[in-house]
Amino acid sequence: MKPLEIAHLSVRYGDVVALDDVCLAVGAGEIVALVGPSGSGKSTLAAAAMDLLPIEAIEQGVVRIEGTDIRTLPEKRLEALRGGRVGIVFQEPATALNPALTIGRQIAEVLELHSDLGRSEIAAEVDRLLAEVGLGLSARRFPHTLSGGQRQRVAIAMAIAARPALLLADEPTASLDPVAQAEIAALLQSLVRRRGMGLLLVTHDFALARRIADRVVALDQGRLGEPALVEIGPPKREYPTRGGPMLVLNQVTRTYPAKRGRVAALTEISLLLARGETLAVIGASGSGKSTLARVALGLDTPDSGRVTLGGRDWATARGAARRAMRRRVQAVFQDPGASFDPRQTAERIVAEPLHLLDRISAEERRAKVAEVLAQVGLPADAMERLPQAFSGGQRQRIAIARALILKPDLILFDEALSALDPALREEIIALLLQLQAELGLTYLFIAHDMDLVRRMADRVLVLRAGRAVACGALEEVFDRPTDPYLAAMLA
Amino acid sequence: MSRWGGPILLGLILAAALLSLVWTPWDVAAIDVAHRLEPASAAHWLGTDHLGRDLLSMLMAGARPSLGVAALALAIGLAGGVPLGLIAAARPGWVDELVARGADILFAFPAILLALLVIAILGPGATHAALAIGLFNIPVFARVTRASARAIWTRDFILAARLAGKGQILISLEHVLPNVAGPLVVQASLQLSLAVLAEAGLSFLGLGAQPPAVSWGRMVADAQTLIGTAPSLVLLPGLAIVVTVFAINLTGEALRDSIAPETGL
Repeated sequence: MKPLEIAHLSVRYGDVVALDDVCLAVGAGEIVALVGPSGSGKSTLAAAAMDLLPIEAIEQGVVRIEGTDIRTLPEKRLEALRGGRVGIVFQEPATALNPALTIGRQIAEVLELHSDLGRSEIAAEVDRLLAEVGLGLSARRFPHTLSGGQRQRVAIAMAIAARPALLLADEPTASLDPVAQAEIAALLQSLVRRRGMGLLLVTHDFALARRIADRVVALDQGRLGEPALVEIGPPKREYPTRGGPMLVLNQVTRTYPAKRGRVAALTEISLLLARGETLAVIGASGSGKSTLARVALGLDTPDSGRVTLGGRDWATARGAARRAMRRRVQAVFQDPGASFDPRQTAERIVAEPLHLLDRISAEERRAKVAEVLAQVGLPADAMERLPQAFSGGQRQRIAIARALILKPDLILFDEALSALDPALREEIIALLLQLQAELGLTYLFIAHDMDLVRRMADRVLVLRAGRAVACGALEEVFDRPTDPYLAAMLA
Repeated sequence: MSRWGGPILLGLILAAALLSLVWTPWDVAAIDVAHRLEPASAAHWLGTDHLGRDLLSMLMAGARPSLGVAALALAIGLAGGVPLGLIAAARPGWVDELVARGADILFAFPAILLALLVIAILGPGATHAALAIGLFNIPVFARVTRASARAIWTRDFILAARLAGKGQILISLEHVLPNVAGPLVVQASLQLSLAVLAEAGLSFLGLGAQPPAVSWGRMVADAQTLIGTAPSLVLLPGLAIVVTVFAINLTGEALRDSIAPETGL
């Protein structure tokens, strides 16, 4: 009996077909990865496996967990199934855990519901589970004292506590930094092998899927198919001609007040970014990447050291000179959901940097917005809509349009592409390379994504705890990674 | 009740108050001792009070100080509190501390006693009652604005606005204020209904609108000795206060539903 068998499953919401005649099985000890872009029906399939589809969904076909058709089961038996024979790991461990309960209590709750162990046996089992997921921590810790990766380990401990036959993992690594991602992936793989569970891994990360899964199946618009491989070839780019120094950081240090004394977010960072060049800044969360971005953008003032943009110093430029500097630099931020005012139309959002121009008529403004929207491949009627009306990829285009409207010399991307699914990311990367070739733009990337860095960057700066631990041409830094964090990410 | 129930009810009360400016069934001040304490009749739809005044006319006219004082108090609170909250959120550090601790200190005083103190200094009257109530609305709005605005200031679109060279004042007006409007509307409806209650309380104590002006709180106070013989003299103005507060709360909820949902805050 296989942990999960899905036969000819179709799900419709009204006229919208979410799943179309899907057949899928997960064997014991097998890892099946389900990949697909957002909206392809991945979540619907996962929900169907637990009989948790919303009430308005119309379902056809069979879903069997260990040979039992779950749609014939009464609600009571289903409840025992969920969290019992089927364990679930969600994307966001921060919201999957109850902040008011200790991690031990939350794992114990699963055992109380789904096993007949006594009190002292449960306590022992909780400690054993924490050890099994690689957490040498006290069961009395609260979730907020843990890192994202540690929280995900707790969530996994909860999911496997009742010794399920099937584990469902919905984007289990999407919210983690690359090191934690690699660790969680390895943990899932070893747990599946050791316990002989089936694992259905839902993800949009092809690389992860290929690394740990026995089989990869792709969903596209509700249909199963062969995974369309996104080939990662050698960088196909025309190098624009390099110019003089665009951005220079000289011995920049920035500290923040802490409980005792001050903590350094950046320590004596120096870098030179030439016109037309692309630099990637890499580092774990908390390594000072975002501080570096703010300092470079003139939004934050360093304690010591100089930051110059096009030869002018942020610290001394005032009035008109500062406005002139502002016109030369723009940024695209990580979360397209948070980087727009939800009450402004796309036209106002994209037009915002035009504030830096002294005089501009309403018609000129509209014309400029229309031009730049066309440049990033958005229809002209996008102007009137609110940001919520756009998909993730379209929003990122709006963010890029806003960064482009003043034709700046330097654009900073703060994790700006990490939330996109692969197909969209390809499009955006192509767009950015094209714009760089056409306009001679300088890019500063702050990135997690090594694939992106390989394809875009000329040079790399690796940060750890606010210090530069490696800096140089992409090939030099990547071929002989001296920093353990970088080595872990490249592995 | 549908989402229109509250606004319609509040609109009717407002309409009655406005109508009473130009027309009431009887002259509110006309004393007619011969017809005192009459039950409801064709001439006097809700009967008369202990001085023979028409109760319906008094209820209509009584809505004016209630709503007027409450609205003025709300305006004082908004005009004082919202800018303070916006400034505090825009300027972390000592400015923020000053506003936050100032609000804490004002909250530490028992509001009703301080209101009595304000009126003792300025003298009783509708405007002074509004001032006394409005003073305590200021820290409420400062706090709500500050808390919501601080959350807005951490979002990336504020960084984008700073990159566009916009200053704190412009960002506060263009980006922060529209995005804190939802919580402010909810708080405003709450404070408006509290102000109606506070006005009724002050009038009950004789510190609100002064005779010959009529107010619901004063009507309750005047009739309290007659509660055994003519209970409607107490119940009707009391009911008017309750219905008004209820209508304001429903309106606030309807407004929030129409303003807040798309902001995702």
